[in-house]
Amino acid sequence: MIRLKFVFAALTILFFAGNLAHAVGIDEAAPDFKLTDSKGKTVSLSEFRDKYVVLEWINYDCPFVKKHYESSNMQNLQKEFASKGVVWLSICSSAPGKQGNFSVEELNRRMDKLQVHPYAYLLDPTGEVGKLYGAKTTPDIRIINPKGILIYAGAIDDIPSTDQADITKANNYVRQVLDAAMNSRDIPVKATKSYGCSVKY
Amino acid sequence: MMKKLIKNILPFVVSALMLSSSIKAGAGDIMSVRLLSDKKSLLPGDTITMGIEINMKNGWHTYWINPGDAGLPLKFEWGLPDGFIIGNITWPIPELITEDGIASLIYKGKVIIPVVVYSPVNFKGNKAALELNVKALVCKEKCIPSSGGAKLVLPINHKKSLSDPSITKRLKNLVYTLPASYPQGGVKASRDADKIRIEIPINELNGRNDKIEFYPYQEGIYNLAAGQETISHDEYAAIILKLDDLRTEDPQSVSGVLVNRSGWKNIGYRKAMDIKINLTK
Repeated sequence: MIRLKFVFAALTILFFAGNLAHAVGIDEAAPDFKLTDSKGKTVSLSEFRDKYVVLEWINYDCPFVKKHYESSNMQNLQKEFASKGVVWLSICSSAPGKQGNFSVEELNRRMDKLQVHPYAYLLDPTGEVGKLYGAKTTPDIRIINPKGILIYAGAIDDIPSTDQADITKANNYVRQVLDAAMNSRDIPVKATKSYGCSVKY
Repeated sequence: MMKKLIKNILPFVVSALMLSSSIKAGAGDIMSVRLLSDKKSLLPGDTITMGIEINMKNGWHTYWINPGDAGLPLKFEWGLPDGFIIGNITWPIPELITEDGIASLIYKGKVIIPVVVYSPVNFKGNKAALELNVKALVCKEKCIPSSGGAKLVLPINHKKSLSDPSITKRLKNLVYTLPASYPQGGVKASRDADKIRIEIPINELNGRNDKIEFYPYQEGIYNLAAGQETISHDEYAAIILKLDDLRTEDPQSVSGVLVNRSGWKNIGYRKAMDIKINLTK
């Protein structure tokens, strides 16, 4: 005879906002999205099927983003890979009134001053695309291959800091992943922990 | 008479001046740093327990050793005399904050971080200047890279060491919130799909109502914003953690700080325990 033990299971669920409850994972199909860019044009991810796409979460006032832009590191990467046919999309998921969310005039002024070179700067003020891709920091990088598969998610490089002097010492993951993928080699790193300011949803 | 008075008082005045801990504030005075020492003067070979006291303006925070989804951990840059060595740093329990699905493990307001410093037995000088520069990311609605420095000059007495009872007491009072090592026990950890379960046997708890939390040292593994489910059972309590969809690796062990707000029986009711437990198959 089995004696039934009284099991008192008190479930305490501390559940915070599950906005990033399930983001697209590595080796999964990158979900399509449609956003307006800084010039007022509508841009869809699906337009770039058959190309490598880099998604770069951005906030020009974040000290980590400044590290990569004031050193021209990010612009150089954008140019380097644009010449190889990679589509670079900067995405700003800052909500209205929060850091990084600029008026179109101010945004274009910043882009001119920094001489940025993305294919497009996309506006995501509702944060919908940021949450779809699980973007947590600025910068935060996603790389999608020509088959529409997410092949990398995480940091731009391997030295988390705000110090420009660390850029040349660091291993740049964007370059490492794209060089391997575009030359049909195994991708050496697929997911790293991104570093930066929190995305200002 | 006056000469005798001055001769008696002067050493104390000089000692007091040498003990001064200067404060240099960073980034618009948001953060300032002080060095505390449980010794007023050193006998070469002494072990000093120091406290790195970080003060931040109201509403600002900085980060724990695992900062969470964003931010940067504190960094310490020491300037020490020859032969002095930094030992263990003990990180106080952080606070978890979550906003829009992004979790951070932080310190806000004031935090004192104890650190052990070893002085060399063959130190010949008559004073030791200990300098520290703290590099931090301090945040409110925006983040600012910040630094703050402090310097402590301790006189050397080649005959005996002298404690500072008030600092010794202050540092001792922190002990209940500082992690202690987990002694041999029955805590187990296991994985089921995208969840990690940490189970603590009832005989290591005060009762079924103990409030338990886990703060992982491992970065990029857990979905901290998803929160922690806790289960209370006749024979155990358990914490369930969710793995991050974009985790950098599949963990083989669980390491971090297990906190029981009622205190852990097996470590004298200290509230925090450092654990590293391999996942059972």
